[in-house]
This record gives sequence, C-alpha cells and structure tokens, in this order.
Amino acid sequence: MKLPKYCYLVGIYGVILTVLGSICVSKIGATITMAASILGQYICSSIVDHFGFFGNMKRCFTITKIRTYILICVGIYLCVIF
Amino acid sequence: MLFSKVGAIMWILLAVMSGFVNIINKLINVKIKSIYGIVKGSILNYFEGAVISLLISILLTKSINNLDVVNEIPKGYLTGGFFGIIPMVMFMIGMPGKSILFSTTIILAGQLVCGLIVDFLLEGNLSVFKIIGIIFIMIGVSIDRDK
Repeated sequence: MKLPKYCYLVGIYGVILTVLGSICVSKIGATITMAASILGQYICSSIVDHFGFFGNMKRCFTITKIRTYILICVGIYLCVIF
Repeated sequence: MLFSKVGAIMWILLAVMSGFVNIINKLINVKIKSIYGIVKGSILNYFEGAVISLLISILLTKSINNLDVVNEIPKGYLTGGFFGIIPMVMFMIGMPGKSILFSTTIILAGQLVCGLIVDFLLEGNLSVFKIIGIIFIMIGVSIDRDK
C-alpha cells in the first residue's frame, strides 16, 4: 500500500505545532493555550468524524454536541477573564 | 482583562488553530503507522521535523554560526524531543479503531491540569476562575464521551 503524498508533510505539522505552542504559552499562558487548543481539537475532530476524512468511519455530528461547545467556550472565557 | 487587548484574541485564535494542526498531525501519524509501522513512522516524523526546523533556523538567522546557541541551552531542555515522542507513540498504539473524539478527550484532563500547574509555576498565583473554567471544559468534554 502506497502512502498518500500529504502524509509526507507530517514533519511540517509537528514544527507548526511546536512553534505555535511555545509562542502562545509565552503570550497568553499555558492554561488558556491548552483550553483554546482543546476547542480547536474538538472542532477538527468533529469535522473529521462527520465527513469521515483520512479513511475514518463516519460519525455524524449531532445537535447534542453543541452543549459541549458551549461549555468549552464558557470555560475558556472564565480562564481568560481570570 | 486580556480581552482589552486585541492581540490576545489573535493568540487565542492561533491556539485554536494549533488544536486543528494537532488533530491532523495525529491522524496522519496513524495512517503512516498503519503502512510503515511505529518505528519508521516516528523516524519519518522526527527526521522531517528536524530538517525543516534546521532550514527555518538557517533562513531566519541567515547564518549557521548562530546554531552555536545550542551549546548554551541547559541540557535538561534538550530532552524535549524525548518527551515529545512518548505521547506520539502511545497515541499510535491506542488510537486505531477508536473514535477520534474519544481518544482526543481522554488526554484533555491531563493537558489542562498540566497547563494550570505551568501557569502556577510561571505566574506564582492560582486563579479560582481558571479552575472553574477547567471544570466547565471537563464537564463539557465528559458529557460528550462515546457511549
């Protein structure tokens, strides 16, 4: 089985991740960086799950997931305003 | 407090973007592992990352002499690569067959608590609101766990 071409970009993603992580932690602190990153991970996971990207099984986005997004956003807001 | 600065919102958006990159990175790693195996996958990942980092450093500094700074870095900081490879390999072993949401949420508690500890160590104070915020996030994540 041949590896898709985009897989060879994996190193670039690692570099972007490290750079973004270290800059954001120095600017807004580790907790907010982690919380915001979790929101990003959640959105991305939902998109990948819903459309079945990268050969993953499709898992449709349900309306009940919105409460999770609301709670995460409230959590981030609380972390930001102190 | 931070919302008074527009820059802070930009940094938060960048942090959100890093979450996107994180998931794509992990998904690609799983794909590489399924074809090449864990060891070759890790080598490809870190070799490519090292080469790209080196090229960026050379391009930004315009001189390879500045890489001497590596000698001035405390040796403990150089173990970052070692700590970076542990979660990646663990993720490669544990993730296939599981929902992405499930495997993502299971590591979040550790990340958040670690972020709180790092903030405490750097700033010296522990905000109650941050702890409440983390609790909110964890409640949000846990009610959405795969049934």
